[in-house]
Amino acid sequence: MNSLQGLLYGLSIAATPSNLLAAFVGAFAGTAIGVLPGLGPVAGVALILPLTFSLDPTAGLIMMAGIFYGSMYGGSTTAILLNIPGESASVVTAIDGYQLAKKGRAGATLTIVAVGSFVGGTLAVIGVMMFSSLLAKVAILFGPAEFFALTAGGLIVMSRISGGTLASALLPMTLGLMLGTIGQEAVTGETRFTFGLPDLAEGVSLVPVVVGLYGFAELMLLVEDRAHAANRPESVKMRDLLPTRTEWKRAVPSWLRGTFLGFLFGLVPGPAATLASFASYRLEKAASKHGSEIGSGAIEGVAGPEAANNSAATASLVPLLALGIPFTPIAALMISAMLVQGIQPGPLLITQHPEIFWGLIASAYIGNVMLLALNIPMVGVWVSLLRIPHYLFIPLLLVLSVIGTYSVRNSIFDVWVLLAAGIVGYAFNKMKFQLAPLVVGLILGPNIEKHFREALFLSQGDPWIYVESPIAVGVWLLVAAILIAGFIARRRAAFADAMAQESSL
Amino acid sequence: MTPARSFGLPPARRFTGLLALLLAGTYGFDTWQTLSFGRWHKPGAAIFPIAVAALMALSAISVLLERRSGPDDPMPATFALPAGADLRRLLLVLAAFAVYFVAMPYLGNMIASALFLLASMWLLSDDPNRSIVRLAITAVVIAVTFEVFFVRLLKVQMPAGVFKQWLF
Amino acid sequence: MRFQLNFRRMAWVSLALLAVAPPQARAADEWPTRDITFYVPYAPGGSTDPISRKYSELLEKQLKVKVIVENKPGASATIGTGAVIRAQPDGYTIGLGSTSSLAYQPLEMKGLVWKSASDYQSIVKLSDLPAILAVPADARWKTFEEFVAEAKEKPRKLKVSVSGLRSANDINIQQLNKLSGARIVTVPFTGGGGESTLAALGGRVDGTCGYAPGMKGQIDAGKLRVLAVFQQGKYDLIPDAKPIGETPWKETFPVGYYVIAPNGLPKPVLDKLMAASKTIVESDEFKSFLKANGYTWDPKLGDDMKKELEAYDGKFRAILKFLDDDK
Repeated sequence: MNSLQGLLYGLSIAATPSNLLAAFVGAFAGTAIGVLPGLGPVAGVALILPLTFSLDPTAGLIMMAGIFYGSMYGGSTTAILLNIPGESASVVTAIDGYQLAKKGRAGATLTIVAVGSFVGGTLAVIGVMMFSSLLAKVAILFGPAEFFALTAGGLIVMSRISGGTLASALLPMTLGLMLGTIGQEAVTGETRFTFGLPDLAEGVSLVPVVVGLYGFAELMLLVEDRAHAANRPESVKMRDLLPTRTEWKRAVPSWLRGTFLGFLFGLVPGPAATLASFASYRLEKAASKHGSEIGSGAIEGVAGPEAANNSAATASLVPLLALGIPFTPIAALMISAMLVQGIQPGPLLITQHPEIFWGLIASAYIGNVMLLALNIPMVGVWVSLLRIPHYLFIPLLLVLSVIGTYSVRNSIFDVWVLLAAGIVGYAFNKMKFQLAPLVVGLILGPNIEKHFREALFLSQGDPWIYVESPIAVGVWLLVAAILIAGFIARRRAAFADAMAQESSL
Repeated sequence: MTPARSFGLPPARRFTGLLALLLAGTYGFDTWQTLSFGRWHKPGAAIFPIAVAALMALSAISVLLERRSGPDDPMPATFALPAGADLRRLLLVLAAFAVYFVAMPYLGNMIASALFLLASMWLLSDDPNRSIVRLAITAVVIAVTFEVFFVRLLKVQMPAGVFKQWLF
Repeated sequence: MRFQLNFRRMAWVSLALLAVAPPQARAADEWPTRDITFYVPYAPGGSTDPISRKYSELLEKQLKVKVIVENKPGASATIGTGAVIRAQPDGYTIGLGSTSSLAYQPLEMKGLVWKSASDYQSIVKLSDLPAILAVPADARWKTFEEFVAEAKEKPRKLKVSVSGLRSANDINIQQLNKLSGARIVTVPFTGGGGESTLAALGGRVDGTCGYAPGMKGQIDAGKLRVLAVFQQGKYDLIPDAKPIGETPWKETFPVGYYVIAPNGLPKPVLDKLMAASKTIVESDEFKSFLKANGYTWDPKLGDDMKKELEAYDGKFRAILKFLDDDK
């Protein structure tokens, strides 16, 4: 069976009424869960997992995939409208998305995101379909040393992701790293910095920190300052719901860059979707013609990351389908769903259960189309939410973020973390420290440490392991190149500035 | 114009830097005291935190050494914090929020949400003629909708509270 | 005045309600009258979730009430386990325990509410999940004996990936080291076990020790060769694998899954729960579920289960001492 035949076969499976219904229910529930600040794709899929046990395996997996795509998309809605990222992959979306919304372009931005997610998802599915067995070999090449290069290099490159001075980024980033060391560490299982609190043994989870830092802090600003709330657009005209020609034009290259980058990230283990969105934002800053506008409301800063995180999410199906090895928590849940149904994921899946393999691929197409169809008409509804008076709106969102935060681990402690993160976020906002580096530090810190130490275990203490493989060396060289290029660009800008000042004198 | 108090930004940042330096010290010291370093072939849990402590000290110092580059520095010279009635309102909402989730395991998600919604809507509304009955109805409607949609329909796990037998 | 009156009336109504509520003793006889919560101290996904859900599903049929599975992961499964042990002993909160959370963690972690098997009520042992030792398909070792022979000849040269230090697969390898005199190096790859398998596939380690369900796909595809299974008898899922029980180094540490309840369950509740559990573990549906998913059927009820866990306590102490001495 070649890919085209396979796809047709898959479509014939996915297009049965019951499977279409599964895809629809999944995409719809996913969007609803994603809009809830704190409940992201992982929680969404976990919630639906028991339900899929009673479905037929293909329908169950299709529904899980639908939830996954839906919640990825839903998370960016609140990021754009309210500066509250629904999950960690939409943190960077909030930076420019919220600025755009303040300028009255919320509708247009949501449309760009919906179409961008569609583009990223669909192109990535094509990639998965064509090259999955080939790409699976890439994943095998990555060991601790390579991951260390990727994560530690990533931290260096992404530390200044949201601009500002070096000190304004370094302090929050290190705080993020520090928070990441709390709890039981992964390698030898030692418990660190828990002050005897059993809740802290699990570590500080990402969800309440992200929702607190951004969302809660933003809500506090609203409570304190009514003029701030008055900035919101009073009414949104139909015309403003659609992007302008220029916006479309500017978005296309960003989508493509984001899709490509996201696909690469999806192939290797780790929090692929989140990292892909951060990396894409960084890339847009460097590669886009309007790079300098990013941070103050440029469509590229939203289009790239959103295409990237959907593409990464889809590409992470490669190791799942071709190796049967879960690289992401969501993939682990999908494997669990297969195992319960008596299906063995792995290299033989495509021959033993073609209906699952191709059905899942086809459902990714269908899911993406469905999401687009579901969400474009919803843009108007979402935007009109902004007109709810804020005495009603703020309590409502606080309740939503508590539901979202609590339910991830059934823990009131996490709600305390949300509150604390909110206060820190508020203070950092006031004092002009950057928030995004804190999230980067918290995500990457535990990964960096794990790979650093696992590499030494593997080499039995020989530090050369970090630079032995061509992949690791390649990653480090790329990091160096990005840093040097950034340095030169800044020098040039400073030089041009000085020239301009001189000529104006 | 809402009441506010203005503070100088550079001193506030220097204060934060000082706190960070203190944090780096305590954190590093605790690591040194309690965690194991292991051996080269069995690296222990202390190595990474020590590096983080050093980085924290470095970033704290870089904040402490900041100098303003004159009036065209993009960083503003001051920032404002709420005062008077606004400050009181902010603190009351925060307190209501804390009471809300601490009480949630006992009252259950739905009742606690409804009460919190009512309290915070009352606090935040500017309308002097706001009607508590209308706010209460709104609060109950929202709380029940959330419960039905998220907890019953989407199976989000929330505390049911001690009254769960009497609720639908 | 009027307000006061209303208040008084409310007080009377609530008193009346209390009087109507059934007394404790009768509640125990009629158990179960409402939903039962089954805590799983692990996150969804992985080997613990399916077996918990299967047991709960069958328990629902036996007891005719809903059994709600709630995942309460964290701190090496001690958070969820503690939640069960600390719960009201009314039969409405039960949960999953494992060899690790029940017998091993109390030795490693301070401040847990259980020190031994006497601190909670043993209900039933559901299954064992044995670890397997596999090497890449192109490796030079064709049999388990060849692998151990080389490990003895060149101490600390052969590396085996495990899913975390002191995980059950690590302990199995260390036990082999202890009994055979070989010195196989274990390399921890934490990340749900997937990375550990990946390290073997990528040739970064000489072999991998893990659980069959996660590796079955690679085994069937001929990418991994299973040398041994760490249990006493033949392994249904991979019949060619050599059981460690047939080698000179017999002692193994399978991961056992158990159902526990808080101490002090009323007698009628305990009896009913045990009877229902016995029917479940002996049902064909449960047995075929275990077989299909690579679990080994080894049912033990109540005190038999308690004895097994007490025996594990001693075994874990011995291997931990060996590890301390062998640093």
